[in-house]
Amino acid sequence: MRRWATLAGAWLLLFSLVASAAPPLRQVLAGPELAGWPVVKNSYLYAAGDDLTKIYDGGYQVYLRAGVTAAEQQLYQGPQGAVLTVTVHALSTPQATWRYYQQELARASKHGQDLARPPAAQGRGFSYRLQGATYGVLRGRGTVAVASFYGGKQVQPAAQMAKVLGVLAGRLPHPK
Amino acid sequence: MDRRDFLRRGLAAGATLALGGCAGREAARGARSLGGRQGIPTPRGQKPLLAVAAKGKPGALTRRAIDALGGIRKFVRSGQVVVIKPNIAWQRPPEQAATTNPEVVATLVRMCREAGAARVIVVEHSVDIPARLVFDIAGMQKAVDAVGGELISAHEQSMYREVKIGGQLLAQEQVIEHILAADLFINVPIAKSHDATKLTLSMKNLMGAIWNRQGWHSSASLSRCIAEFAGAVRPDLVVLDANRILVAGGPKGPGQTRDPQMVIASTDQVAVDAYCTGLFGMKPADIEHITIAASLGIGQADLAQVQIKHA
Repeated sequence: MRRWATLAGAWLLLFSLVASAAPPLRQVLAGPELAGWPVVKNSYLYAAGDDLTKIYDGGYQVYLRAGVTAAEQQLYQGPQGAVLTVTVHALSTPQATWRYYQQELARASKHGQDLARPPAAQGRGFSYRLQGATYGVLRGRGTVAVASFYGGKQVQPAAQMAKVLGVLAGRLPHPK
Repeated sequence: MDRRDFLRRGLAAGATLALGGCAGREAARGARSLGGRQGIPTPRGQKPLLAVAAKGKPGALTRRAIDALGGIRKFVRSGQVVVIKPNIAWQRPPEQAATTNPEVVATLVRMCREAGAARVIVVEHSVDIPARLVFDIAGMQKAVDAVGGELISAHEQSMYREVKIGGQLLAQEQVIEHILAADLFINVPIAKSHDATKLTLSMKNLMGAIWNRQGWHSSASLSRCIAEFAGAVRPDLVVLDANRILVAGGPKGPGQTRDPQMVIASTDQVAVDAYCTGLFGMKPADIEHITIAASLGIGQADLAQVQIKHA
């Protein structure tokens, strides 16, 4: 009986550890669209370790140093030529996740405009504008997602980014 | 061996030597073509000429810089095929300065057409994909279409040809065929910061002309790869866009930008890169691939030995 209890306890512990881990990256951006924006065909990228050059080319070492172990990127097509890019980064530790998020926040605070914390991001994300583009950042368990709007005849409104962050908040588990 | 045998063998040996010699020369010619491009060397005993156009709109600056080098007709002949390699690696709007200003490229295309070029091809192997979207967001598709150029994405391996580099690190490399086959090859980079090499200027921009960039990143020295390649596949002309430069957060950005409002042009790629280090408060010696390129004799990194012409 004691052996069964030990086994059940170990199983529960393992289950809780797995449940608390970051979701596999490929699941975060799964689906034909995001917040109503359809995917751009052949735009999906996944990379880990030194292969991050696929996404960041020579800049990849910055991400490795920050603790990024893997990343995936998907593009979505919006109205009038606008494009939404979402890159989800998997980080090695909770500390690295926190630091990465804080770095993004520092950049937004220093260079960005209209910094906002939309309620849809559930207190773990923000949006801002920088040099003709709108950005959104969201922190999940072991992950940080960075979304951006480019192109189109007009800069996409912050409300649109709030919607994107809301969808991502549902897919990235809360860090706490 | 009688006299007849001696003569016959002698003639045969002579013929072999002659044919062998020809074959050797053919092989050498073949090896040269496999070796990429030679560029336009600075005449012996002369300093390379570097044109710096400042204060103005990107298109006007481009014209002024080329005119200061002697005009576009010095480089382009009627009926020629010109290939331009800008930096359109990233899905970024022009104002973020991660990609070459489309007005600079469009002006060059227009100038080449005015000089009688049969075709002006603008080619890039972008990092971000899909390339068509990248070209649209960078404003390049619209700009090139408007002036009669052809914008081509080099995302098929069949578009590349192996070139002998013969360097310490690079033995050969797969290079975009259009660049190798062009009558005139113009490298049109943007000046920006770069995490791995501190700066990306003209020589670093040539990484977008090869198939396997990752091989350089994982090599013993990215800087050495850049320099060796720049020596083997030399542009005939470099026109560097410094209208707006990315001073931090490169190569992809977004990051802090500055507006020097300059276009710098020369046939000496090392001189261009050496000069542009000053835009970032650096010296040529601060950038390893510039130092290596100069040591390999690819160009002039000593600005005291460069004839700088302000246009």
